[in-house]
Amino acid sequence: MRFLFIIFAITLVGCGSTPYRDDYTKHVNIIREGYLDETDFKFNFVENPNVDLRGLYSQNDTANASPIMYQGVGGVAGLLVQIGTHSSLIQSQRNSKLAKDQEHANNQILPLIDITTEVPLRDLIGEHSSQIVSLENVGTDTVNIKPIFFSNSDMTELSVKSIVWLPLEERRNKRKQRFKYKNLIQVYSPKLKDLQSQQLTNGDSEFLLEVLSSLLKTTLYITKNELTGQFSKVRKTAQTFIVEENSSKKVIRGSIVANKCGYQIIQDIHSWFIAYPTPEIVASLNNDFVSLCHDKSIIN
Amino acid sequence: MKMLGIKFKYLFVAGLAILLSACGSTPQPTVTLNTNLFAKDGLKVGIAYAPPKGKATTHIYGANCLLCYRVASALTSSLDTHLEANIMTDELTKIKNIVLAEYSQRSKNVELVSLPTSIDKLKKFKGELGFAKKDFRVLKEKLGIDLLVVLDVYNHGAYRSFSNYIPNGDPQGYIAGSLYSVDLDTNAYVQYLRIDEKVQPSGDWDEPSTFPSVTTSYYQAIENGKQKIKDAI
Repeated sequence: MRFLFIIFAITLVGCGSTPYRDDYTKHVNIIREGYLDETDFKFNFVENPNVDLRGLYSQNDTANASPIMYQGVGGVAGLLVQIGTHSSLIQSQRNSKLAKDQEHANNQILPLIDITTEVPLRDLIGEHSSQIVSLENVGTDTVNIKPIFFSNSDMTELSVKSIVWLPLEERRNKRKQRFKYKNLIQVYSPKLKDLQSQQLTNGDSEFLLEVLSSLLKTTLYITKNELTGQFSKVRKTAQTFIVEENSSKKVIRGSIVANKCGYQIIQDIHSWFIAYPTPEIVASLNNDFVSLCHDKSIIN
Repeated sequence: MKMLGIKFKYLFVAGLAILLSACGSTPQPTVTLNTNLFAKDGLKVGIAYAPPKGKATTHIYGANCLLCYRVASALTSSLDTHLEANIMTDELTKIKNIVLAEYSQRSKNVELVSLPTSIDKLKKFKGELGFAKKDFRVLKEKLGIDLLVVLDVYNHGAYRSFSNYIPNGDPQGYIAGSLYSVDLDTNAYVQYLRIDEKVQPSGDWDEPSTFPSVTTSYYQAIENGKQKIKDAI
C-alpha cells in the first residue's frame, strides 16, 4: 500500500506543478566572496534587446473543479493512465487560463504597447550606457538582465520585473546548477497622477519612456549594489510591508536593505529585491524625483 | 418481527431526513453593522476571540475519496510541516486588536472578554436567519455586557483545491472565519461577516523548505482579512 502511495505521489508531483512563467525565478547565490568589482560592472540585455511591456493581471491559475469517474479496467496501470490524462486536462486548463488573462490584460494597455514595441532598452539606460557590452563581448562576468515592464489596466501604475543572472563559469559535471547568481528585481513607479495618466493615454511617448527609463535605472542601481556585495551584510528580521499594486494592497514580507532615491529597497523572503516608493513619496503630489534621482553622483 | 422491521425502517428514514435537513440549511448571509445600536447611552460591548483549534496547515478540498485524500495529504506534507513550524498566531492576535480598535471608535465602553464556556457548548437557539444559532443571552449577566462581538477564526494556513487525485491549482494563502455581533437581549445578529480569504501565491509555490511564495500569500490573506474587517465596522 505504501509503495502505491509513493508511485501516486511521484506521479502527482508533476501534475501539481505551477505553470511556467518567464517573470519568475528562484534566488541562487553561490558567489560567496567573489563579488564583482565596482569598476568592472558590466551588463547585457541578452534575451530581448527591446522593451517588453505587458498588462498586469491576477495570475490566479486555479482551474475549475473537473471531477471524473475513473474506470475500473486495467488495474493500477489503467488507473495511472487515467490519472495522467485527467492531470494533463487540468494542466492545460491552467495554462490556457493564464494565457487568456494575459491577452486580455495586454488588450487593455494597447496604446502603451504600441509606443514601446520597437524601443531598444539601450535607449533607456542613460548614464549606464558605458557599462553595457555588446552581445559578442558577453563573458561569464557579464550580468545578464531580462526586464519585463508591466502596467495596470488604468495605466496609472507602472513597474518592472527583471531576472538578473550570472552564469556559472564551468558547469560542474552531473550538477544541474547553471548559475552563479540569479535573482528577481522589481521596481514600482509612484502612482501616476491624473494628468500624467492622461499624458500616457494621449500617447505621450516621451513621458512614458522617461518613466520606464527611471524604473530600469533603479533596477541597474540595485543590481550593481547587490552584485558588488553592498547588500550582503544587511540582514534583519522579516516584517510585513504593504504596497499598492493594481489598486489593491499587496503584502511583502522582508526587510529594508537600503533607502535611496525616494525608494525603500526591500529584500523579501524569496531574497528578491523590491523597490517601492517611500511613504513620503507615495503621499507627495510631486513625482518629479523620478528624473532627478538618477544623476551620476547618486548612482556611483 | 415484521412490525419491528417497519419501525426500524421509519426510524432510519426519519434520522436520515433530520441529518439532511441540517446539511441543507440556508447559510447566514452578511449582516451589515447596525450602527443605530451605538446611539444607546451606556451600551457595553465585549469582544471575544475564538482562536483556530489547530495549527496552521494546508486545508484540502475536493479530494473526495479516502485514497484521494491520503494522496493529497502526501502532496502537501512538506508544506504542512513548514506552516506548522513557522506560522504563529501573532498575526491573528493583531486582527483581534483591529476589531477592538474599530469598535472603540463606535462606543466608549468596549473591552476584551473571555467567554466562560466555549461557543460550541452553549445551548442551541431556534431562530430564523438573522439570529445566532447558539443562545448567547445567558452571557449578558455573566459578562455584564449588552453586545457581544465574536471574532471566530476556524482555519488558517493554506488552501488547495483538488479534483479527486489531481490538484486544480497551487496551494493558496488562506484564512477562514467569521466576525459577528450579537445583541444579548434578543440574540439577533447586529453584524455578521464571513471571512474567507484565499490568495494565489506569486510564481512557483513548491519551494521547500521555506515556501516563500505560499508564506507571503498567507500574510496577504491576513491583510485582506484585516481590510475587510476595517471596512465592515
